[in-house]
Amino acid sequence: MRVAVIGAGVIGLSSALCIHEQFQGLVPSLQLEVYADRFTPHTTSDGAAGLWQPYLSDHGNLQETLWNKETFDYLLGHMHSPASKEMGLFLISGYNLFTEPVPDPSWKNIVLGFRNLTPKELELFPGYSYGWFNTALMLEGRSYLPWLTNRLTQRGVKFFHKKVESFQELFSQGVDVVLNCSGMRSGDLQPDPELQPGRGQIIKVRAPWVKHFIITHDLKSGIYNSPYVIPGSEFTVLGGIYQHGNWSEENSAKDHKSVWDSCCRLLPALQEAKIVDEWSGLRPARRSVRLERESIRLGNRQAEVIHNYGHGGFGITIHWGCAMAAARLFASILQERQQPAAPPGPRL
Amino acid sequence: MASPRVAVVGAGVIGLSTALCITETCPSCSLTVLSDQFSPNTTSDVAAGMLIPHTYPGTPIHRQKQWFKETFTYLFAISNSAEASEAGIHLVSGWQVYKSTPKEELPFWSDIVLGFRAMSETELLKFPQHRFGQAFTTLKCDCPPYLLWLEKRLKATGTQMYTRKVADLWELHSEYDIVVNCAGMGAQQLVGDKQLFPVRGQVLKVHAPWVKQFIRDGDGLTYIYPGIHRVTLGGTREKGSWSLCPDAATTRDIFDRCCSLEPSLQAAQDIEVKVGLRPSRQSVRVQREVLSQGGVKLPVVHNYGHGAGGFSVHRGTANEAAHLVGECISALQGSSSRAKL
Repeated sequence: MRVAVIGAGVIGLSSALCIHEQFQGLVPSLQLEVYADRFTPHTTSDGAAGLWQPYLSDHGNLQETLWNKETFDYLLGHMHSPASKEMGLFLISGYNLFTEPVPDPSWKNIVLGFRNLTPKELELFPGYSYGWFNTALMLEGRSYLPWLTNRLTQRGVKFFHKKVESFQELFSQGVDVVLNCSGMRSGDLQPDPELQPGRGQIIKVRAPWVKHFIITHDLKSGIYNSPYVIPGSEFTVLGGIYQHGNWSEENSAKDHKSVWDSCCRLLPALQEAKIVDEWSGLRPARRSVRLERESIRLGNRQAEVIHNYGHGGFGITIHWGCAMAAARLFASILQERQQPAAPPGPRL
Repeated sequence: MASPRVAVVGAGVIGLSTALCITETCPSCSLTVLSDQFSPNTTSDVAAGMLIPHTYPGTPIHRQKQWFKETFTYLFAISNSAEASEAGIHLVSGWQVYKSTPKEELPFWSDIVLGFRAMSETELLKFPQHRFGQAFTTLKCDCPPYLLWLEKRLKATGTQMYTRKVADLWELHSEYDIVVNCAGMGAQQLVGDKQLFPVRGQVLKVHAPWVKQFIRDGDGLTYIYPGIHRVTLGGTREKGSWSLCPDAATTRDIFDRCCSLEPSLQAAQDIEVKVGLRPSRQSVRVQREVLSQGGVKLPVVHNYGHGAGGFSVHRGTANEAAHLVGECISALQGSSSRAKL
């Protein structure tokens, strides 16, 4: 059974690993391949700061909240493993700031130590009158993706550096199941008007005295259009841009100024920080994550696509829950095909 | 007395902060800092500089709380300003964990640090050997940056600083009108204080920039304090030991204890070992004294014996010492005007 994963960002690689871990023993003929035109460090996941935090509201999408929780618990479980540093995984605390009281988020009981900010803490952030403090996790793409790649390579998964033009292209080569983890460019493989870019621009600085994440919110301008500061293991990410429908991956001077000025107002000491890099990326935004099977008739064959894209600005936050859901969809495909080497029904 | 000549002996956090307070309360003073060591070679440079108070058995709690509050407020304002990174002052959050529930669940300083609360069950899962914990946010003073920042502020006011080993406070009486003794462990020899004793501390300063949270065992012996560039791993509390030589077995032991609290430290790099002698005393000595020898008087203000809590109370004790210097000046001006009659 040949399975091809399209996309080598956090979604593609983690889905591949999850499926290989669960099924390689059950399906001896399983051959897994990853196809992508961009690999780490050039994927969208590499540009993200890596903070585990869902959006403020799940819009009633309980499924996504569950996937977020599964991801957090999975990562927290890895905290004591010797691999955590190599994975780019570490604990971090920080602040979410508002100009007015807001309801508690869906993830308040997922993160550690969630509480409201005290008046003294709010003194640190003039202009903000309400906020949260909690401990969450960082999972840095620039470490996590190479770690996933190593795990997959050790397991014999093959990688192909090429841009897949269509699902047919892979099916005609004998692939049985395609995992579509193509993120922002899913529309090139199958038009999806619901998938739109949420363009972001970030400035990377050296500010090693910053030990907390600080995310401000402007409920009128929407998510990530208000300054945020996220300290990583090597440098700190300054951001605050979310432009729906903007496909440009070029850095904009206007956005640079907006991010720099607003972050320096938030943390005056940042004026002394040295800028080391700047990056623009496209969050693959969708009203909800597309995580579903699609059967495609090819002559006398039935080919299967498992879609797993549209994770917006919370790909890292939700990735493992989605990977496991994709693996369950794969199990249902196996069950329908009643793989001769597999025991009756997948054990999950 | 137009311009009282004041000498501060000692250039660690106590000496420099006391000198700075003196320039603020007595701008007309001619101030000089004398020390055999300056940053990066002071005891303060070895310390992590965490604002987590040590409790002095001999000092009333309300006084310790006042010192801590003044220090916290002062540093909080700096951490929030554009000077924060130069001064080496930053906020850090984390946990203090206990193997058995402490007698006092609410320390006297719990309402001064930020967001103090008991750890949740889920948080404690990370520490299987510990049954109780506290989470809070406090401040850290990184050295050398903080000491260098204090030196820079002092130089801007015209304060002179000289490397000089003072063997006896009396040797200063002809050049200075008032002497401020911030000699830390050096006060033992300088003023013969038998109540002052060293508590040796060995620490490791490592490169582990993914560690963003502090973790401290409530017994005070094991701690992980992330600084701007290095993480301080500790430590030891060896009462009466004067040795400044790093001990290899101790290094191994500190590393193991810290790794059991934070396993990712196994990947720490560039391990640097440092040793400091905490200048310990039952109570911090912040006190005026007039030394007298052959009809000559020398007013002295003592500010030493901060032991494990120097950073936590430094600004508060500096304020008090500066106030005492003011009293000495008034006394001198009173007696000099009497002398003119």
